[in-house]
Amino acid sequence: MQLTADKQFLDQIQGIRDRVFRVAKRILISKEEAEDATQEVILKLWNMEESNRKSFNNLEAYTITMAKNYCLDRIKSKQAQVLSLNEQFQSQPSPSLQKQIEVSNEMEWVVKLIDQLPERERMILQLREIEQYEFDQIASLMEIPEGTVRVYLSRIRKKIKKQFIEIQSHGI
Amino acid sequence: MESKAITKLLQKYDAGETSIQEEIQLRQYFSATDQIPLKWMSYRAFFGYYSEAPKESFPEQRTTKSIAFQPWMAVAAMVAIVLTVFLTRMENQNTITNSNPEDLDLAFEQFQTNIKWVSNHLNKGTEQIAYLEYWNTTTQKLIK
Repeated sequence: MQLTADKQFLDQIQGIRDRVFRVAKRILISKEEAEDATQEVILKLWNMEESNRKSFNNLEAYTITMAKNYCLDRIKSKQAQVLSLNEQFQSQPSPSLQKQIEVSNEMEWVVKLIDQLPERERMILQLREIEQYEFDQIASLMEIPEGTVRVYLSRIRKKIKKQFIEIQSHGI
Repeated sequence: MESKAITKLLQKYDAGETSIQEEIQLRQYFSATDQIPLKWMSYRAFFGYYSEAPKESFPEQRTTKSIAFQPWMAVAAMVAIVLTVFLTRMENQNTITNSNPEDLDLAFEQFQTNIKWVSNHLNKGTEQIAYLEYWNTTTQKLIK
């Protein structure tokens, strides 16, 4: 009985895992960290009591929420580290301009533009444009009203479009 | 004509008002159309990326998977066992049927002597046990 339940859980999680990984990578940007986060989240689910697992009528939404919280926590603790590092290297100029020139491919530009958005905006964009969630799903995941999701999306879409056009007109 | 509808959809898209269905429509338009107005180049880039990105999946770790038990291993093990049993039996049968009657008689004689030897030694053992029994009764007498 236990074995079949575990098997069922594994099958269920298999499909969600890729999604968790993509969302984690969008928030954390680093691929390695996203892998770690995905494994961490799935391990947490695995260690949960079976009866608890069953009580979620929507395992996917629950898992994505867990991933979101985990990644945002990671970013917070990382920012604390980066802040202390920045204090040490404040005299050095930012390398972003140099990097910006290096990137010439259109697709790479798109990724760059998305990556520089604040993490909440990155996540909303990921959930809508790539995972294709409905507004109400995103609203409950992000714990904001549906109207706010639309406002966010509109702002993000206009912002990255404007930035993209600016880059193009500069002829880079 | 079509581009008019697309213009409208794009306006809706920028306002955050399009449905998933409409967004799919936009993606299809931008991936299927070669001649796109210059002002829409940014959309083509973004929709192109949004179509590709969902294909990314969690990388499989080989190190953890290599030792994992696979169903085919059970099948292979069963085949190996059955084959060894079958082949050894075949071999035994061959040695018996191929040998001539004299050899069989000799083998039987040898077997008999062997068995006799074993039984002799067994009897030696029982003699020892009988002695032990004797010992037992005397010690019991002493204890009493």
